[in-house]
Amino acid sequence: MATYLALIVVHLAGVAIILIAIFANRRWLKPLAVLAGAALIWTPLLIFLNTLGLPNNAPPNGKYRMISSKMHETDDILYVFVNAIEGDYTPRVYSIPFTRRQYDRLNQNTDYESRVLSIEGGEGGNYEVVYVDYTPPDLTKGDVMRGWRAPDPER
Amino acid sequence: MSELLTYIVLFSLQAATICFLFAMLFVHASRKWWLRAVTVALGLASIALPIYTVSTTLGYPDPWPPSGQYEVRGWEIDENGDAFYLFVEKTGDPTPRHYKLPFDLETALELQKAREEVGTFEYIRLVVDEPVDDGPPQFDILMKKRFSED
Repeated sequence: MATYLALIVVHLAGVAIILIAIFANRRWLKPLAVLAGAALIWTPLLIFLNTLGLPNNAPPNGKYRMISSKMHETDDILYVFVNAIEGDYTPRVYSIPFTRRQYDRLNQNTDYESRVLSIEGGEGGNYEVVYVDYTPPDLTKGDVMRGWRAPDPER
Repeated sequence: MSELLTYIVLFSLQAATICFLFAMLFVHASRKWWLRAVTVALGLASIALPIYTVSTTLGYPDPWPPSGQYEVRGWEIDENGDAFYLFVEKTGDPTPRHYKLPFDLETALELQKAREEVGTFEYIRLVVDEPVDDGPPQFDILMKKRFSED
């Protein structure tokens, strides 16, 4: 994450140099701005490569099939490895601010066979995370299936 | 796939904003108020676009895992997409990672078996080696049961 922040700062500095060079109209600033611009083409790609695979700390509201989770007690963060019930079902990793008490309470509620989590963002960066009773689409009745996979009864 | 297209579009927009700023460096008409406004707006957009792009791609799997040893905390087998998605942790790094690795039937069967006996393993470990000749990442999944089967 430190590399990500450093690259964002480099990117900000690059844009600032170009804008100053445009408005200040100083001849000596132009070569510097050209170099900054050349770097700016690549910084988003570097930022992308440095952050791929890291947990996303802003999960969109919705229902997710839980694959696995990890509670990090020292930082009070719950990492969840899930795939969305609807839309793109490539698995994703989210990090959610969560206390041990909330985690224990969440696990008391795991009698639903489907292991489907509902994640709702609230005020102040708090999230409400609960298991919900989810009925998969009935394909024999013409329901549409989007990303749903049968749950593993062993997990 | 749609996420990849979104990323390509956002990256192209980012490149376009930088090209515009480049052009403005050499167009000596910065006194026109509307051109100034457009320049500032696109400058701000070129700052916001990479941050927005990262917010949409964070959490997705990294198909190029660095070499090393990781504890496997969860996995998903995507036979249709020819991939394994692994949720792993590296010793000493509290932040877990999400990696995508190429599918192979033998590993898939091992993972399937492990899923049926989840909780009986002392460890499930992912070992990644450097790719050979720019090929896919070389990896192995090691499993050890808590108690021997005898």
